[in-house]
Amino acid sequence: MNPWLLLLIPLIPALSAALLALLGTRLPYNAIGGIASLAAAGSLAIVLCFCGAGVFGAGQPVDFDTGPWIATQAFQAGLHLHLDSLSLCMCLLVTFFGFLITVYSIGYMRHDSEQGRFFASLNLFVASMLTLVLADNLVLIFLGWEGVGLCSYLLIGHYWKQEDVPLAAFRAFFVNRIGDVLFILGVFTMFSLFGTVSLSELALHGPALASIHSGQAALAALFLLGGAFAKSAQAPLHVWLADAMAGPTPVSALIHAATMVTAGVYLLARLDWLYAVSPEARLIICLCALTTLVLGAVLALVQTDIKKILAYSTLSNLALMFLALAAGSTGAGLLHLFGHAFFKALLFLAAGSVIFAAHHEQDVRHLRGVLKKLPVTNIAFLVGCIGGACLVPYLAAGFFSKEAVLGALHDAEFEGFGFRLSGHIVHGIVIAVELLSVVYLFRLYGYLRSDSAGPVVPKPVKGGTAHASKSGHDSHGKDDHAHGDHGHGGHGGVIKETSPTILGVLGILILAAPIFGWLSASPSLHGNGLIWKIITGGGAEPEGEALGHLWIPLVINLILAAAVFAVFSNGKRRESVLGLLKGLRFGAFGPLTRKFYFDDVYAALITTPLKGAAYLSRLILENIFTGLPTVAGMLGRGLSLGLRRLQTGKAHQYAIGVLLAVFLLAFYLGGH
Amino acid sequence: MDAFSAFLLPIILMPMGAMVLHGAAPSRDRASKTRNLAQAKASLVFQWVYGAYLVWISIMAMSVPEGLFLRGRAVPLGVTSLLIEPTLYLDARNAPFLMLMGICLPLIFTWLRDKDGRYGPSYYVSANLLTLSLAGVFVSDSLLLFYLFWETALLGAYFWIGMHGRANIHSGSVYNALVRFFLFTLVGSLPMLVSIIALCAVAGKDPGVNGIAAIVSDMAPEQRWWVFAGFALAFAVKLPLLGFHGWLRDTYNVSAPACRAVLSALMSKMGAYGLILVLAPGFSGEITYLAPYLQTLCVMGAIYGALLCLAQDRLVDILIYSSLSHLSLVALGVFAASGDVTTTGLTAAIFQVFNHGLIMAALFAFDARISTSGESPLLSATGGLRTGQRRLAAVLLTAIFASASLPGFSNFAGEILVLFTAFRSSPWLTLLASVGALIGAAALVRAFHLIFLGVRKGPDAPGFSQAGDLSYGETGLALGLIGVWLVLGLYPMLFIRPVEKTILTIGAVRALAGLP
Repeated sequence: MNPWLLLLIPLIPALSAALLALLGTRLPYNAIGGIASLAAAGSLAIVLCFCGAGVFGAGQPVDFDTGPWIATQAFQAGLHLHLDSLSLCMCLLVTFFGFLITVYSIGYMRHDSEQGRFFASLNLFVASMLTLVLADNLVLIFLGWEGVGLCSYLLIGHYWKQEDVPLAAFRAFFVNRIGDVLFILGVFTMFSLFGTVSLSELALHGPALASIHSGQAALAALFLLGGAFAKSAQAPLHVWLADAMAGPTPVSALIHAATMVTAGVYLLARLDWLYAVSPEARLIICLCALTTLVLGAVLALVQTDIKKILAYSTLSNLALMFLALAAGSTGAGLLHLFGHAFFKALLFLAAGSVIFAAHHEQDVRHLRGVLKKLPVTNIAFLVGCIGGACLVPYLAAGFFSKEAVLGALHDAEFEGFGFRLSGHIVHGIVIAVELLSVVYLFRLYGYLRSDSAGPVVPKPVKGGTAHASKSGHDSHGKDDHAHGDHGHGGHGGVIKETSPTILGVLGILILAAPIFGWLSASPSLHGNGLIWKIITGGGAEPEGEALGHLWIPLVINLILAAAVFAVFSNGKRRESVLGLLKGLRFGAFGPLTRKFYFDDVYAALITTPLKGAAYLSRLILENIFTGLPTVAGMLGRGLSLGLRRLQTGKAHQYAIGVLLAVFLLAFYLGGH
Repeated sequence: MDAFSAFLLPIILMPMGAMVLHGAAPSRDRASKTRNLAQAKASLVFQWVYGAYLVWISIMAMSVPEGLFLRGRAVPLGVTSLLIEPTLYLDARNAPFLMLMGICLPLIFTWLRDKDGRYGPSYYVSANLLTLSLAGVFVSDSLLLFYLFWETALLGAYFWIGMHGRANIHSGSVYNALVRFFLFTLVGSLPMLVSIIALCAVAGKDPGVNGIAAIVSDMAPEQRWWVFAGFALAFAVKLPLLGFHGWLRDTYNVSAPACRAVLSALMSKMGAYGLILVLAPGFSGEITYLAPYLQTLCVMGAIYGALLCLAQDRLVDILIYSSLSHLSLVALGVFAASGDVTTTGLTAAIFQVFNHGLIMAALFAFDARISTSGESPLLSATGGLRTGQRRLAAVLLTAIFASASLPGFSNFAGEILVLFTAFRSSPWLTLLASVGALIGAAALVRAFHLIFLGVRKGPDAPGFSQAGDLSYGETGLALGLIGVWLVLGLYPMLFIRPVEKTILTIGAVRALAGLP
């Protein structure tokens, strides 16, 4: 294969993005969506061509090197694209989902007033993400890294006229920026230590050097970890992801579930040798990921916004990937990255279909029974829930990947800073959280399949600025068009499956998710381990549990899922259980309602002191600096007032002065 | 390149001619508004021609490592035996400064052209005086010429601000701002004159900007410190560094919009030029000795400027302080440039100056285009303005992201090299400096959100009326500028390679870097 084709993979969507950004307002709607989809399809086609070029597994990588990019005597970063087995898998993931979700968006964004901007950002995102996974050096990765961050920011802020949306976009920008600062410092540390930022050179010479300068290597690992945590929304930098759901739902599926948020996992997987020599970094990953895992799952239990439930579940799943990396099993982490992409994208897209059909209602309490009227979406949701809750081996996309993660954790040891954490404990926590994930997914599914009986939750008044429901962010750029011209049913209207592109994409993913689940099975579980081999470049298989040993957890999961579904799909049962929980005052439990106080702590520790320092500087220091000449002027004036008194205009006083001066001079000269 | 050297003269002569013509052109039309409009048009044409010339000659000079050099006839200064040799030079080190002028001037004068015939001839005379002085500072080799232009720049800015500035409720009076600006700058520049005289006296001739290092190495250490201090003070005020910036806010605030853009994009670069091309090569020993303190000062400036950004309620004030923050970072690169990162630091600083100028020109110009009066919008009183100004909002946000050093924009390539240079001397200072840059970027984005996004409010608040959107032509210019950022961001070697090569061929830097 011609290496120049590598350049085309990110270039096609980038050019399309530029075209749409410039001409987006002048093109007809179908042309905008068509161009964007074609661009994504073009990249997908080239990536598919490379699949036949023998890159997979332990094959020969393809390189495209155009020489220096940012290079001086002391610092070098090249413009170097590198396609190996992992990059190719990531490219497939990005272009596959990028293409599908762009097509899906043609239906979803049909009534939006700024489609040009939306599709331009979507294409730019695909281009940036492809740059990220193809880049051979850390600085070029950073180009893609910031590119996806920019697109994420732009797309979160898509409904910019609403009150909360700009703040959500700003949050995502700011938290990611914190990660970027750490990332860049990590790059500098790496360059100072190894003299290169090229991943392929680092992988060759890095491990030996890193074990010698382990302190510096650990520092570099920690800096880069900060970047990865911000991008992949791990505690304590996770606060932006739930707010990011303010963006359109296809964006949440592509960027905030399937691809961008996994960039941190990808980065750490690329540098696994670095983390292999710094146990402290691994311990920190483990602790932060455990926090996120529990926090995400628990918060997903109490959310009522359909997208936020899924967002917190994403947090939890990302944490699982990080745990696998911390345990030293890069393969398991990556496998779950892919598995999660399939079931979570499916869930988000199905949720999008629900939201679209129900006229942009997102509160599950108002969406009761919607799925009964949406047959295809219903299947998609069910397949997604089964995938996420790992109910059926082979058919659940996340089943074997979670098994691999659990297997990796079982034998791991985490230690550092004189502290030791056994893998068994982590393993136990993860299993408990898995049960929670069954509960929150089937609680959601139960709501959506529920009968409509039961007390009606008063519907918040919509329209204007009175946006009473904090959770219901997602809606059209409402000011631009009236209620009636949507063309699909609103509340009180008919709820039915809407756009053919939405249904088509859901159909493809309904098939694709179980296929991935099947292919991800490892040989020990009667699978062929195809995906594992490809991802790890032909790495050794993990020793998984035999399928026969898994039936107890499987049965427990199934029973739990059925029970939760039974409770939440029936109005009376749901109300009695919720009433019981209310009696326990579980809902008013502080940590849950305040999202475990992270926002409050940040407000107290960062925002308020920063603002205080800012106003203090403005009121005090700045006045001192600008007042310097005033003070100098006042001094001069005072001096002049004093000296003025000497100018009396009386001749005899002057004469005395002259005489005195002459005497003094004479004494002085005489003394010498 | 001797054949081309004569092309250096028009760099100064062209604005001089324009200045004279604007001042003396007979006007058939007595009605001042018609005359003013005619002058505005004439000035616009001139700025484009002059800009094109500057860009062309800078590219010429950057394409040859040794650059261009024009030596005038040596004449004795008055009754002294001191020979004055008016020499001009242009190579890849100072050509970026000229190129910056060449790109910024036409853009600023187009975006902020006088549509209502508001400004009389004095506006253009003082603007051209400032322009010619800036160009003179950037290309003069002889120190006395350098000083002459340095002071006429003050004069040009003084008249431009004084005659066409306007006070508003957020600033002091024009008079106060002007006096403060004048005093600060003069306190900075007079000691520099003493230093220059001292250098000339020791050398017996004008050593020239490029000859300082050779003379300084012959001087006694205590002499050297005084000479260093004279130069450093002038540059620190002009840049400005933290503590020397007292003139900044009010001066910018009362200036006419175009003047403000020129001050930030171009005049502050006089200080940067001095730091990078006069102080760093000439006084490397002193800088190395003081490096920890100077670097700390720069980092404090970066954080302080960024913090002040958070406490402002007007976009223009945020721009002013973010400029302070960014230029402190540039200075950090200069002061950290020693040992094996010398050329990297200096190259990065020059690149960063170039980027900063382009970005600030755009930001200040767009800020002034938001309202009809050129007044900056209040963050607390406006919101959702994007409805009426989609194109303006788009290019402004792009410029904000460019100033936040998003990779892909040229600012990133410069900043990563500056920070890398700093990282080699002190990782922790670099961390702090990056935090400063982070806060500054966040303040700008937050300001954009408050003004342009969210629920629409205050388009007709008292004292503020929203202007129309940018025209297609103006948007095209903005896109061209964004194109420059992207090209230099995606392939910065276009810029870095010639600059670094030229810096390497200059002996002082080679010696400093420990090279043969």
